[in-house]
Amino acid sequence: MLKLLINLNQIDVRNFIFIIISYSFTSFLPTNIIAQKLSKAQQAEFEIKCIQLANAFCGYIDELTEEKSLEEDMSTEEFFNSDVCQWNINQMKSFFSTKNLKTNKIIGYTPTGSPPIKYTSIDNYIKLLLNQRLKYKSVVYDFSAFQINKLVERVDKNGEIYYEGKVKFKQNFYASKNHVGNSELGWDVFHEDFKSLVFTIKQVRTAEGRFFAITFHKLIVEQQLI
Amino acid sequence: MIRFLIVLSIIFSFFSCSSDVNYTAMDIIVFNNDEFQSGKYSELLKQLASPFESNCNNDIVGFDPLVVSRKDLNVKSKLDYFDNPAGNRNKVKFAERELKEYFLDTDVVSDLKKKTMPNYSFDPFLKTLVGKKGVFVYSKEEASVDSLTIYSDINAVHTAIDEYICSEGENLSPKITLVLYRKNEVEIPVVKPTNNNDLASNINLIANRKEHSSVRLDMIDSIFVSFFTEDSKVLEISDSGVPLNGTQNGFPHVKDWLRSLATSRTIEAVTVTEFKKNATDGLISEIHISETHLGDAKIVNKSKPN
Repeated sequence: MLKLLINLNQIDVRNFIFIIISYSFTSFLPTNIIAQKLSKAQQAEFEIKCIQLANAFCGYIDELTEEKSLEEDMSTEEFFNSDVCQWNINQMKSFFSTKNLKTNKIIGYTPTGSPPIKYTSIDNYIKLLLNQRLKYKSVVYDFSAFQINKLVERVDKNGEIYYEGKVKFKQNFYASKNHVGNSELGWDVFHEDFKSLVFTIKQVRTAEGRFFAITFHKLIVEQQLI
Repeated sequence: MIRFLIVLSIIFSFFSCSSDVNYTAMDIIVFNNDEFQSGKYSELLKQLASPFESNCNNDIVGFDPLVVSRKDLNVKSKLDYFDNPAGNRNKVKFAERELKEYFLDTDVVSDLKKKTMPNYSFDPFLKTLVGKKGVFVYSKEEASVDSLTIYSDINAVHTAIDEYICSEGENLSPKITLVLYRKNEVEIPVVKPTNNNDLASNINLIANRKEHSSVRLDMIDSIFVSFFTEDSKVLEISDSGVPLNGTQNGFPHVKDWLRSLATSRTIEAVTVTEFKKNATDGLISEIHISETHLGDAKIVNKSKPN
């Protein structure tokens, strides 16, 4: 700016007007023109991060069903309102944006193990799970089978580049009516869940600056509740 | 024919004898394991498991200790320890041996590493028992919590159970819960940071999956206050320099991140790459880290085309 003022004495009025117009124009460029793209390496890193987050998110669900199985004396409502349950639910909610939480239809599940999918809130889904699995004393999950769809590059209506992806994974679910603990013996129910977390990676602006943010939109559970 | 009648009478007498004792399912909840390790609780449980004569109807009352749990550690016994194939005749001896074996041999750490239960303190638990039928609390020390009676003598427990059985009659609950504990000895130990000057090592104490989550959660407050400002943020930076943990609301607060580390089932290590300190108090306002999780390498391989 200082350099601009020094030069003012050396230019004619037409050039001055041109400089002012140019300066004003570049100062108010729409943000989409400078939107950043992810490199291949960055895409791979974000894919891994999304899988870690999916694992953590479902870990909270499983932790709740497991803890409930140990609290036989508590009703579903009592357990739902307990500190340990609410803390886990709040952690799960922190994965979603405020906008998505307000829609209250974040988790999709298949009540009979096949479509159509019903969508519900985290709270209702957890109550559903706690009720369904109350009769089992212990559950064990195997998170080993993960698969991620490659991030797809998209442009939103404002011209901003963003990336959309889906973490898909299978969970092996072992439950026992009798056994408690992490025994490898005696599991008398075998069951599979297929889950997918739909997410986007987008640039956001906050008081802390501009950066990429991972936002989960919904969890779909292809599962026959037992 | 005579042989058949003899066999039939033997079978009949066998069932007659076995029906003399009416066994009732009993939960035994234990709040302290010191006595088990010294063998005293197994003797106590032997006394509890021994059939005794009821005062009200001359029946023999026996208990089938199906489930034994340690509420302080959130561990329960396995049912197959008590599923005696020989029937009820050896139940007492079986219970004594198997209970002792369970509490001495169980790999408690492997049972605990996935738990996120907060500290399980005894007083709140006792309050949940007030007013419940079929629950008897035994303690070495005489104590009284609200309107709950706590027995200090095993014969008094037997008497109370007998009175309960007589008063309930046909309405008797099929399950009786006996709580054993020693007062003021149920606190979960808190592991304190060993080196306040080493930020990374303290964070990795919280990230240590081999430690019980409740213990790791307990460490957070002291580490947080020692190193971080109240509104400090954490940025997970990738190898290519891009932050991986941004949200619509900015970057996570350090305290929330530490809590997620304490409950993580997959975290292997945290590396601190950079941090910003306040000039005034020397506390960290922003920390840059990278995380290593179980299966990360496997995921990378899977993402490569075959």
